[in-house]
Amino acid sequence: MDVVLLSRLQFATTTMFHFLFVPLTLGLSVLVAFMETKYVKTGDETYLRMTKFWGKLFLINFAVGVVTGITLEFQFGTNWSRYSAYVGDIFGSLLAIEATTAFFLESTLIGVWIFGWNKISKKAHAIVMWLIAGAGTMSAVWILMANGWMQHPVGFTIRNGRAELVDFAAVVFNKFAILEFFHTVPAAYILSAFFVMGISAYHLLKKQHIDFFTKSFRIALVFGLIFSIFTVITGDMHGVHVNETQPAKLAAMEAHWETTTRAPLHLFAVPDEKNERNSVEIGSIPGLLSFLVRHDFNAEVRGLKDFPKDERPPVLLSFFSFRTMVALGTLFPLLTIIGWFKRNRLVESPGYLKIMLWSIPLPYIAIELGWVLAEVGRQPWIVYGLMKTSDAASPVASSQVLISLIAFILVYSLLGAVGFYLIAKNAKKGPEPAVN
Amino acid sequence: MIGNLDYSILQIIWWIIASVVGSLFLFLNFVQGGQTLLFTVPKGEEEKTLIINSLGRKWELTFTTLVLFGGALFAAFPKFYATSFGGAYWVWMLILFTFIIQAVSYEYRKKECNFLGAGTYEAFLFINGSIGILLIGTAVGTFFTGSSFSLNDYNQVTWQTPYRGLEAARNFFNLSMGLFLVFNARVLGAMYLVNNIDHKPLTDRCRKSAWISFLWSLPFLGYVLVNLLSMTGYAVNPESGEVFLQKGKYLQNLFACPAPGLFLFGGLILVIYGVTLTCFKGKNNGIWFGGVGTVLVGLAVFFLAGFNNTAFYPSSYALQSSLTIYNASSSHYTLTAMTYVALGIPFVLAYIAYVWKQMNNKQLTIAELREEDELY
Repeated sequence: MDVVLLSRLQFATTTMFHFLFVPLTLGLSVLVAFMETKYVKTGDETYLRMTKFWGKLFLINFAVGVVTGITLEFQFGTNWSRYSAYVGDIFGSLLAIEATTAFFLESTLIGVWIFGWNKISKKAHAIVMWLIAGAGTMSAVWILMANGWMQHPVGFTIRNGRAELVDFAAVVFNKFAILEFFHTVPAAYILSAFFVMGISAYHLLKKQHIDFFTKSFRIALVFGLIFSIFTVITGDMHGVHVNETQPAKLAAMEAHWETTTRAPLHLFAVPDEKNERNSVEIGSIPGLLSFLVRHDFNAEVRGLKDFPKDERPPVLLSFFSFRTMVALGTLFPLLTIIGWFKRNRLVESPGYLKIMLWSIPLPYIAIELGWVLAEVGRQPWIVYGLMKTSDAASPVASSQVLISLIAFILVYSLLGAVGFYLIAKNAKKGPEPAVN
Repeated sequence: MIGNLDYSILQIIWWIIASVVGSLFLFLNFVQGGQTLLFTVPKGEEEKTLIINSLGRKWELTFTTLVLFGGALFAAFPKFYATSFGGAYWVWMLILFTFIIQAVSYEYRKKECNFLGAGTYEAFLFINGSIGILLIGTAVGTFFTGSSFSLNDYNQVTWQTPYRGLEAARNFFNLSMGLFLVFNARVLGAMYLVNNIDHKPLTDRCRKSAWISFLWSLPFLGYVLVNLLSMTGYAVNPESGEVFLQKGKYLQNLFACPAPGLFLFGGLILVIYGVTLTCFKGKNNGIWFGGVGTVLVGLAVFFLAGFNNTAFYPSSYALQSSLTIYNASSSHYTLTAMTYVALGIPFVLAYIAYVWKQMNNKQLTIAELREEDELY
């Protein structure tokens, strides 16, 4: 295998692993902060126990997220040095700001929250968790801004043999990045809501800690309901913008080959990249793709054949990642709406609780596939229209990358196994018994 | 005001900022140093847990400072980041792995069914504290001895050895720099534990350990200092930008302006004073003198490498590929924008100082650990 492919595999492995933990950090911090605030306001000990129980799961998850984040920063240098040399003037500054303002605060605040129970006031302790949630969100802002710039580079000029920043405001207010943020972070909130609802469902099915987990479920339900609807809306807006900025990605994720007006949307298709067509098309709805991306049933949508073959992203992977993400993204509001009507009789709804328990992995799958689409769909570019991925890798031997890739797989497998095992074990164990 | 600053002033400011963060990281290596004491200083499980929990309340500071240091270098000197990380692949990968296993060791060590057992996680902490710091030290050493790389017209690096940076450890100066940092971290770690823990039998052993580690650090420090001040260095012609070898370059740098010399000798005196307070006066506050001293020595090292027309990341293979703070930096615009952001750094540091004070207002005891819900 060549060094570019191996470097991509390594980056994909480490990033996707990292993003198994980041969304729960983002969302669960908000939920735990809310629970602790309820405790401070009401004095109800159940909320304190909730804070500690969900907080413990948050901490196990947080540690793996922090640790695996540094790998990405290192890899931009070790494996993508040509990229760093060419666009580091812009990209490096965004990562540095993230490290300075957000990540640093988030990580150091964690210690205060863990060990500050008896050292600071209840109110201050709750505020610390809100600050952790805020810092985590700020971290996401800067990281997604950096990724948004790779997707749709703005505010730069080519000078001195590299891309140089000329308009910081254009980078900060890059519409692509803003839409990415409002799609990714709410998706993380959905994941966290389903995590809490799923674990609560497990205990409610076993008829244990009923008051505790009913309250937990309901808080997460409201959270999940709001953001699952919000994510669908921002997803639609994002799709429209992708059509404007990355038409090849849009065409790939829809397996749309010919430039046509009244472009159809295929509910299911099997793209045949070799013959530039779909070998199977099921449920094609004329004009729907035009409507979704241009808000006009008769609008023209560019097809893949409009782009040179070497500038098309992998169609099969883009299409199925997108379809699966959308299918799951449609399921989440439905499940939470059903939950809303069952919220007062959860224990009497074992069928629904079982579905929610087994739904825990679904947002993980949706989010990972969302990233697959975002990154694979941008190919062959590492910075869309500016730098190709094949020009960006470090000049290291493929055997060296292979060895480090194997090392990452081994170490991360251990990390993941222990991390998820500890989360599952503590989740199953349930909260500490009430004092009274 | 920042918007009107000259490009070269901004490049100097950013080398100072990177040096400050890097030097703070060297101070915060007391966490790593403390980790290397795990197999020799504590007696029994409770003392070991006491040490790990004392260090565990600070490990994130060190870890995030490393991330911040990397981020600052990436943002301000992307050519260095691309050259060093992309070239010295194995050094940076190994450093990365030692930090990954460190962080999880704190989180997993005390958890039931952690697969590997507490002993394995303690070994991971030792590896991070020893090999991790040794490698960082040897990497810093190459700021003076040079690395074997060349850059093409597009700033793309070609590393000349298959060892990808590990060859730096074959140079005794680099190795001595690394070993000095390891032993200095052990000194700082022991002094921190003395300051942070209320358990006399253990802190007595920490005091003794600080002294032994200090003695071990001296020959390596001496070797580094003598060679640093006598070696041929990588000078830059300010007019043409041409890099050339100059005898006694770093000795010249030491006296070119007062700061490096003052920092170096002042820093060393402070470290010695901190060790004296800890080991012979029975005081608990030696860490602060040792810490400030380490920061000053770190600043001196970075200043000697980067200022006074010096190539801070020299190439021993192709002199003209050497990196200076002027040819490796980001654009004027980016440095300006980043400088505005850097105005926030003092607030972050102030916050950290506040957190530290809050968390450290009482020494850690075994009794407190027995009451804790969460243990490392």
